[in-house]
Amino acid sequence: MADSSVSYKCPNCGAPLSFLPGKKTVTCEYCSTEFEVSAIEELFRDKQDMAVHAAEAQEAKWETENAGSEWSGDEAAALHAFTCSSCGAELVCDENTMATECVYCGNPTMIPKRFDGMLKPDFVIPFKKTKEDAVAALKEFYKGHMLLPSNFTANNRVEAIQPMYVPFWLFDSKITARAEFRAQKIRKHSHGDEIITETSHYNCRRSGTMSFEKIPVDGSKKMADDYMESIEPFDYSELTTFSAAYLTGYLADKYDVSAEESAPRADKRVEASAIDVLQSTVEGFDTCSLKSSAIRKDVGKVEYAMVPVWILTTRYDDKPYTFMMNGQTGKVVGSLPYDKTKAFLYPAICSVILIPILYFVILALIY
Amino acid sequence: MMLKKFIGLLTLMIVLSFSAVSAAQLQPVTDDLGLLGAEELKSINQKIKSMEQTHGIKIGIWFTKMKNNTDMITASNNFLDQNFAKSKNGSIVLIVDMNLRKYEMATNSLMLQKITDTDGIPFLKGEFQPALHNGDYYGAANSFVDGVDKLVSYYEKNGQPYGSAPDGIDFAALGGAIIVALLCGLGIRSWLIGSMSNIHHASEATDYLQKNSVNINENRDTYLFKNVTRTKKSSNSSSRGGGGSHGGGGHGGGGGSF
Repeated sequence: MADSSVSYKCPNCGAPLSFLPGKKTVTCEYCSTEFEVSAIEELFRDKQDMAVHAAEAQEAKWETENAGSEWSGDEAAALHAFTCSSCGAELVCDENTMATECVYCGNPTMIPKRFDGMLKPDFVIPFKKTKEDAVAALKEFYKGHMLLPSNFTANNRVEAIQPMYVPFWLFDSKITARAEFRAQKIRKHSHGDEIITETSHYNCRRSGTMSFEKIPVDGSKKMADDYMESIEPFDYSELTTFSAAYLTGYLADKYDVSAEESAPRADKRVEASAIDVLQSTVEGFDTCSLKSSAIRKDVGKVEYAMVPVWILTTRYDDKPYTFMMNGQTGKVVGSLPYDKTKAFLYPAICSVILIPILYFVILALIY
Repeated sequence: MMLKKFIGLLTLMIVLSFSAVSAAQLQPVTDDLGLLGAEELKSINQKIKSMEQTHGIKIGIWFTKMKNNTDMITASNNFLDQNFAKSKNGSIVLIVDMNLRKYEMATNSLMLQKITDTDGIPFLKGEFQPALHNGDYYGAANSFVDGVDKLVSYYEKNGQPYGSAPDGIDFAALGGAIIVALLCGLGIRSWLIGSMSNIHHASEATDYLQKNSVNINENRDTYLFKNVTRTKKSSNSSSRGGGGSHGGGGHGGGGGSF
């Protein structure tokens, strides 16, 4: 039976190949031979084609066998089996997995069927941060949080660290924005024993064109939107034309949220920024508020990119805590647990210290 | 020689006795404009003299017309120093200028301890200014004298001037301090808990805006309408601080319009 997956193995010694963070080549960690990305792509292109055919054959067979089995139709549709080309083990992954590693032999494994047609990304931002960088960054992230439980850091062990390429849509748009603002000029002057306040009201119309480039919106249901928006920004100067070789040694998902479904998130951000830009041109007034706005998209372009993310999972009080690190910039995001005793005690101490100070301040104001 | 000495001594005695008579003749209330009736004048003078006996203080009131460029602060200080300075427990005067419809009070250093510029003077203004505004000059003089009586009595009873912090704990202030401190505590707690997470939705795309692509092609401001609101100024606009800043010389005081 033909392999339904491809292992990127060193043509020199046969060991698994990995794309090491910060390097522009694929490196064999065993014999230290370095290969150009294009050379590896060409070398394994035929193997990938074979694997695609094998995977299609297996899928067709699996679906027929699935009838009457213990899996429901939905479950079977979501799960896909493939064989590890290194040890022959049968592995199961979900329908979006593009790259993973064998749980038995640890071999980095690609599933080329998932790269087909329009699913192939346009760009990739290669990993720059290593596993050690991710662990160090997480420890640094713990610092400075006063409410962090003492035994969280003392007994803390990172349960799982996974490097993953997350599918992102990059939206380019050129827009025409129109907005009306209500602005006020306030002038105060004295006359006799009166203070006269004159408030002049103005209607301010603004319109203009502007362009936004590569607004990132993740195309993965598995990844929480707020986490993905929190690891921004990315340095697009390191955006590289996509090659599957970059995915070796990492987990990778294809998108399961289409560009059309993701577009409203980008549109909302564009609208807010466009209004800010127009409002910043309303000058010489004391107050300004938005009355109405209309944003028209003149040109909209979408590109598909794979973005590096380290996913770190730890556990405290039997509850998992997930942190994510931007695999390019090293920015860590996540929510830490807090000690309820400290959360009561520290503000209470502040309040007790404040009471006498405020008491004398109030007395000074009254008398 | 003896004759010269005798004449000199006699002259000195005459001058001194004349001065004493002049001073004794200046009544507490001087009404240059005839605003008060004879009976009213007599009544208010008696009232002030009685109060001067009781508290050991001097009070002077002067209804007059000043020249336009007269400095009311200096005038009130001089009026006090020249006519009412000699008192056991302090002096206070009130000048009412009917020309510019202004008034000014002055206190000496002893009275400043009892009637402060920050609280006592505004209290007195509140007492007599309405009557002055309504043209009730006898009522205004009476209210001023009654106000001084209240403030000096307050000092004699409490050992501190009206408006200063009372001895012991002020429970209203303490309650206010506790409420504000608790609110601050809740704010601090909310901030501390919020700082445990840096997860947030991105609401803008400003990082991805091409700065040189912004082209504003309509920039029009249209005037719509105007609102005018009028508020009365605070009446203590000419009050001068906590004490002793009323033209120097240890004087206190304050004034206003009516």
